[in-house]
Amino acid sequence: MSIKITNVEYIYSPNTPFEVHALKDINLHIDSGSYVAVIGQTGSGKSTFIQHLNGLILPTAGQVIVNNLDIKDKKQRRKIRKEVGIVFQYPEHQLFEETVFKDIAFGPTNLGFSEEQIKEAVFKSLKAVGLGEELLDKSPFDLSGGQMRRVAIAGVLAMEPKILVLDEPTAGLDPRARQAILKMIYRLQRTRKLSIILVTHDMIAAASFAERILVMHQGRVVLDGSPSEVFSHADELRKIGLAVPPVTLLCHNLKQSGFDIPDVILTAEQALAAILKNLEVKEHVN
Amino acid sequence: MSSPIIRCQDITFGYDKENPQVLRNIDLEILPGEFICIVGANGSGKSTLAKMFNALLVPDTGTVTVNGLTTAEASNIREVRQKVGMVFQNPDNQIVATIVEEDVAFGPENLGVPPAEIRARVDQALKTVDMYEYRLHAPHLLSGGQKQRIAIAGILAIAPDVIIFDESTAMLDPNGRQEVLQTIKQLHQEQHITVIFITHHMEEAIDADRVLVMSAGQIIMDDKPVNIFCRSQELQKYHLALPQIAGLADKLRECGLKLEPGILTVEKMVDALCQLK
Repeated sequence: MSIKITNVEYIYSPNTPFEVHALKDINLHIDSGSYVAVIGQTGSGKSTFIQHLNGLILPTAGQVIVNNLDIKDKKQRRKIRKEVGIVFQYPEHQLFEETVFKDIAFGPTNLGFSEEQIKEAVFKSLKAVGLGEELLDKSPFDLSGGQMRRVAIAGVLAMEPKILVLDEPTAGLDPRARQAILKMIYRLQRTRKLSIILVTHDMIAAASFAERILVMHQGRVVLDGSPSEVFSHADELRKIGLAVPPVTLLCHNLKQSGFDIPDVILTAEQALAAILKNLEVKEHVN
Repeated sequence: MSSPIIRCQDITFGYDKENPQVLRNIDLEILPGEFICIVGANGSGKSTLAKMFNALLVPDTGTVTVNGLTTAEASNIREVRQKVGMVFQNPDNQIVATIVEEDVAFGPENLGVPPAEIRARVDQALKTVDMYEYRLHAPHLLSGGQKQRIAIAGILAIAPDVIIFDESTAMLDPNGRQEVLQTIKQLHQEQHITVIFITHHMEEAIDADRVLVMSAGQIIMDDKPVNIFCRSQELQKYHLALPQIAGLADKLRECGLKLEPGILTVEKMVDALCQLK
């Protein structure tokens, strides 16, 4: 279930004064089962990009191939939509049914699942997002913000996609809920072998969970690599309005001040170990 | 010491019978010109408290006064809302017009401000948030940070003394967040506007004069940022996370390093560690 994107361009409102060249020369191959974070400023093209992955937007030029299916072909596009689930920003705004069960069942019902299959899909996805069955008969609007968001994600999972795209799934949540959602997504990738494409402004999340980071700027992918590779470009990232995680910056600066520290530190745990090592060595010498 | 601009006296509040105690016995005084940050987990009562400050909600018991005016008094509401403006989380929900300057003019128009004065206020407000050159643009084509600055200009045009920012940076990227924070700090410093800033992001509380930590409808800490950030274990109990550097400083201290309190930024941490080396 890989995604192949070749020479993709996208222009909003072409031939009008509001023409915006939103994607330029995008070439990517995303492997099946990988965890990719997409970072970039607002307006860098992230949302336009992910809407190409299930054909909500069709490229102005170039090709998007998902699992050997061409997004420009109408029949194949229907199949792609089953494979690629997109969780948009603030997905809880899209909840509308009377009960949690009905809401999660909406997608699979529309895809023509049998009643038995629908039931199974609902239970399975509810469990996958870490919610209990006692919520199924409740109104989704009586839940907390974090729970509503999980229900919305469950609604997408119930369609059993192979690729899960999430646009800022933790925005507006408190630190505990944020961490819980990030861990849940990570678990989905591990246990269900889903490919994850996570659009985020949270550099700490990108550094901690993703295997690969795409950095977008003005419609282009300007950096593409592992978190260590991408965050080693601290200056370039700053120039395009992005930050590296604070501990990464800290260790970078310490290294310049003569500390013996690995090139790129991504997490607080790594930073702690590296700093302690430096100071202990010093004590030995003394 | 000047008298408080907002005063809450033993207020309690509940939305319905199922949630009778969203706010519990809150006593609070906010002085003119303060920069206050309110932090707390989802559901801790932050936004509910904020809505008390401009009479969007009134307490079940206790009183809230703004410049001495009781918010529960219907005849005071207009004046209270003119004194205390509010910027919400989602810029798209607060923009009503199709042209930037018309949107900013919406507030003063409703207050019956004379047209010439509206013109002057709109121009001034847009210049303050550095969006003057966009005055004839359509808001929906602007970035999140820009839209949020338009929303702030709309509030400034009402000429309030206090502005509440209810997670106004939550939907923005780091740059947009920086843009908006910068604008807010400038309003505070140059126009002496009292700022009440609600956030989940503890790092945004670093520059506040005072941080209020809320949990289960109560204010459980009320202190300067440095004094709040050294209580990391307590904060975790309330589902709050320290800024990454403050958390690291805490762990280093646990490992026996002698680090001074109040290390919240990368620069300070580098200095402190270099001295130990």
